[in-house]
Formats: sequence, structure tokens, C-alpha cells
Amino acid sequence: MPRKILVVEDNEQNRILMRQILKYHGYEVLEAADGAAGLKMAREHMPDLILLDLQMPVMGGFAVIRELRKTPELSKLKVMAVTSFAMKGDREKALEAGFDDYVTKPIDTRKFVELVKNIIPNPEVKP
Amino acid sequence: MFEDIIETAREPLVVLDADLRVLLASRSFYESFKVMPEETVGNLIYDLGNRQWDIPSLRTLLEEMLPKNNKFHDYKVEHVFSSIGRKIMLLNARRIIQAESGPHLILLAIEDVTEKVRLESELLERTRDAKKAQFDAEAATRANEDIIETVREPLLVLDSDLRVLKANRSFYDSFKVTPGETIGNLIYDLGNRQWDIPRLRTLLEEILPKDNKFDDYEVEHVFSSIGHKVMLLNARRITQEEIGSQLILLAIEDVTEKMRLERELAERTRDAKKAQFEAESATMAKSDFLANMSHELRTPLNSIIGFSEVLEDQLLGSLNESQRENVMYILKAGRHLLSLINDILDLSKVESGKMELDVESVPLRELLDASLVMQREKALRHGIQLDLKIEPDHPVVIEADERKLKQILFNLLSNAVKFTPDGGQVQVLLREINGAQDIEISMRDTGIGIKQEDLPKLFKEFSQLSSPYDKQFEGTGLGLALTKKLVELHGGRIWVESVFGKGSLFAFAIPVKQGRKKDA
Repeated sequence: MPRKILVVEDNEQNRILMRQILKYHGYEVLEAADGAAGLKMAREHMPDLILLDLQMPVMGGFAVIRELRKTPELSKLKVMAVTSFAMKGDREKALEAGFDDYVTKPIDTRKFVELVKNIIPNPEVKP
Repeated sequence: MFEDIIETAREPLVVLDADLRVLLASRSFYESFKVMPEETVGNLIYDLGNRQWDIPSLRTLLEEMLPKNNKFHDYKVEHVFSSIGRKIMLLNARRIIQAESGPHLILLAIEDVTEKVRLESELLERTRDAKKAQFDAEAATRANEDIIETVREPLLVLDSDLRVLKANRSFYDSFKVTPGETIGNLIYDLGNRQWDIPRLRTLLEEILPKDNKFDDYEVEHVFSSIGHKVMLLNARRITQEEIGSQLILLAIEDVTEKMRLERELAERTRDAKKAQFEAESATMAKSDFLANMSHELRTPLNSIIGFSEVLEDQLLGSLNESQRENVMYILKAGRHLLSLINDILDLSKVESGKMELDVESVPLRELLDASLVMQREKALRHGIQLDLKIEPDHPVVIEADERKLKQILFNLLSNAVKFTPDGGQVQVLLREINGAQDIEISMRDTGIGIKQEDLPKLFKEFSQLSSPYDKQFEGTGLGLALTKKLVELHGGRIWVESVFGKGSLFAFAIPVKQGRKKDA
């Protein structure tokens, strides 16, 4: 059984790019185009990792992480922030809000996988 | 009868006998010379008033002149009497023969002319003074006239009735009037009553009598002959002591042109400020536009680069050689475009003042090592020797924006490597200058060098020079322009020295401490 990663990202091409890379490395990829849909899928699928865009319509990344962290059954989910505004202090702000890690867009296709592997080293769950 | 005459005469008279003893003296003599009849009559004239009258010149007159001529006339004798002080006397005398053979008498008239002489000499002095004063006044008038004539500013001299006594040439020239229609006329009547200006009346008739002067009053008037004029009026009331009359000196500066220029200047300044404001707004708008646009451009560009990388890494399956080559070209073009966009955005940020320094302590050795590492691989591939020399033997830490400093070093170093032929050399040198207040980092290469005529445009946007050693991808043409701006943002300067065909030295110097925060 492959590990499940939920990509919550409103930009379709970014979603596809992440999916292709993650799939190549053996992960199962779930996708949502906005925060609300992402939250719903997180409840349904309990993914091993959520890649959460901070700037999205309907429901932004920070609103989603707040919701996740205060919901007992979801509070232990691993969540990585994905953001295109790489300003000084953004990383700290994200970690403070409860994210497990932080990655900036545009993603470096070669380093991106390393970051994911830091959180879930093995793409396969041992049966 | 003799006595009566003597008594009536207002002039002091003394009658002496042949032995010069006083027989008789008039009352005026006693009054003038403060002597009593008791101490006078019967005494030798020289013995009068305690021998005060023993005057050498009187002796000469009475004992020598009179016996010879029987008279003397208007002899002036000056003498200081102990009782009555200094006196000037005019002496007249006659020998009067009373009988054919009898002893003669002497009638001596002593006019006290002390006061008269004093007045006369005073008068003389005053006359002299007056003459001198007159001369002075004339000279002064001449000098004044010279001044009036010499001054470039129109001047009028008015009498206390405001009639024109004098005007200088500049006045006639400026206000197009002739001396004939000016001198002797009331100022208001000048030039066909054109000068009847209410404000001028107020100044001359109200302010001047009160203050004796007025300074820099601006009067605007439309003359039928010479049109609209702006005049700056200054006046002084001058009292002439000798004449006891008053003159008014009125200076009329024609500031029409000056005012026009000033107004025009003010207008232009306003226009310029407006233009500047508009330009600044335009720059802001441009930089906002660029910031937005570059974000919009980068999003699809990142997809292009990302998907190309996925293809190149063959995550979706293996590619044949020409497929791989094409993907590589897409990737190369995409990366070039991305660096162009980033440079443009940075430049526009600097230009609009939005680029701010994020100042922190930067250890230079570490930064230089890291920068060289980034070029090391390319240098190795081309057999270029890359050396770093750090002159100070102590750690050099400066206040700077580390990311921007990295960008500066990257741009200069990659240029140096790019323009150096295979087997060449690039030397990086860090030293402290200006009493260790600034640091200087230079990069000397053994490259192609830069032609003298190309040096000035080197730091301008899109002024890329072509390299014969085309290595990988060409630059954006913005690198040096941006580098210069980044150096200047740190309060530093950048320069280049080059000998065409031999090599170049690019160097920049920035202060060790960032004294001021970047202001908007």
C-alpha cells in the first residue's frame, strides 16, 4: 500500500507537476483545488501528508491548518505549507501556525522530493 | 562846554595835560575800563588802575607819534588788563592848543573794539566756513549728481512740493520721457499725467512724511506709453542743512522683467514638480505593473521549467537523444526568461525606491567562499584558475543585505568566468580601504577585455557585449546595471578597468557599516 499525499492547490498545472513527481517516487496522490475541498478529503482519506497552498480561493491554507489542528482526529496529520510569497518570516509564521514544514513555489522538482521524504521516508507502507 | 562834549560822547575819552596826567575822563571811560574818578584824575595815564595802563605801544604813541604829528589816528592796541581782561582798543588822539603860548592838552579817544573785533573775526570765520560749506555743498551736489547719473537704476530728485529737480538718464530711458517734460513738473504730471498713480500718492504723501523713507514698495501700473510695469520704489527724505530745505530721492526700479521671469520660473518649477510627480507616479505605476506582470509571467514559466525538468529527468519514461536535446533547449530558454523577469523586477524595484536593504552582519570570507563554489564547476570545465585572496588577516564582517551581496558577487564572478578564455585566470581580492571604513572586492580576469568606447555603456541596461567564448547561456544584459544599483543601494560604488585583449578588473567598494537606513 503506497503512502497517500493530498495536494491542495488551486493551480492545476502545479497540481499535475507535483502529482507526476510524487507518483514517480511511489506515492499515491490525492488532489483538491481549494481549502474547503481539501479539508473534506483530509477527513475522508486521512492522508499521510498534506501539501497545502497558502493562497487559495474559498478557504486559504492558514484557515485549513487552524481547522485541522483543532479537530482532534485530524490534529496529528502531517501538513507542509506551499507558498509563492517567500518573504522573510513566512517560514516562521507557517511553523507557528502548526505546519510541519514549508516549501516555496516554484518548487524545485529535484529538491521537492527530498523535503517530502524527510516527513515520510518510505513511499510504501509495510503490510 | 568841553566837558559837555566829553560827557555826551558815547566813546571813552580822556583829557591829559602835557605831562600826560589825566585832567578829565568821560563816564564811558570809567564804565568801560572799570576805574574810579578818584584813582584817575591827576594821575599819570600809565599809572591808572594800579599801573595797568602802562602799555608800551601807548607810550610810543603818546611820547613819539603825538609830539611829532600832533595827532594819531585809529591805532589798534591790544592789552590784557588784570581787572577787565583782554581788550582791543582803537586809539585816536589830538594835541589841542588852548592858548598861543600856554601848555597844550591831549584828547585821547579810546574805543573798545574788543567785541567788534571778535564779531568781525567770527564773521570772517563764518564767511570762510560758509564759503567752504558752499564749496562742499557744490562738490557734494556734483558728487550726488555724478552718483545719480551713474546709478543704473532710474532715480528722481524731488523738492518738498514733489516737483522734479533732477532725473537721471536711466529714468528717461526706462520711462520714455524727455528732460523737457520732466524737470520742474509735479511727479504726478509726468508724461501726460501718466504718473498720477494712487499708490505713489500714498507713498509720497503719507508714508514718506511720517517715516522719512520707504523701502521696496512694489507698485504696478499700466502706462499708456510703455505699458504694464512693475516698479520697486525706494525713497529717502534728505534734509539739506545749508539750504534748510528738503529733497526727496526716489529710486524706481523697473522689475517688470524680473517679476515676469520670477513668475515664469515659479510656474516652470510648478510644472517641473508636477512633471516630476507625474513621472514618479508613472514609475510607481510601472513598477507595480511590472511586479504584477512578473508574477503572472512566472507562474506559467515555472510550469514550463518544472515539466521540462520532469521530462529531462525521465520521470515519465525514457527519451531518445533528440527528445532530450529539445527538452534541454526548452529548459534553457525557460531559465533565461526567468532570470530576465527577475532582473527586470529587481531593477524596477530599485528605480521606484521599493528595493530595501535587509541589513545583517555578513562574514565576507564565508560569503566569498560560497560564491566561488558556485563558479568552481564551470571554471574547472574550462580550465580557468579561480583564486581568492583575502588581504586582512582578521575576519571581515560587514553590515549588508546578504542576498543582494550574493547577487552582486554572482553577477561579477559569472561575468569574469564567462569572458575568460579556457586556461585563463580569475583572481578575487578582498581588501580593506579608506582606513578600514570600506571594503573593496575586485575580480581580475585574463579575458578579452573591453574596448575603451564600450566602457561607459557597460553599466547601462541591455548593453550586453558579446563574448567570443559562448559558454552555456548568454546573460540578460541587465546583470551589470542591476549590480551597480545594488552596490549603490549599499552606499558603495562600482568601477571597471580594462585593457582590450588583456583582461578586465571589476571592483566595487561598500561601507563596512550601513550608516543610514534606506529611505523612501
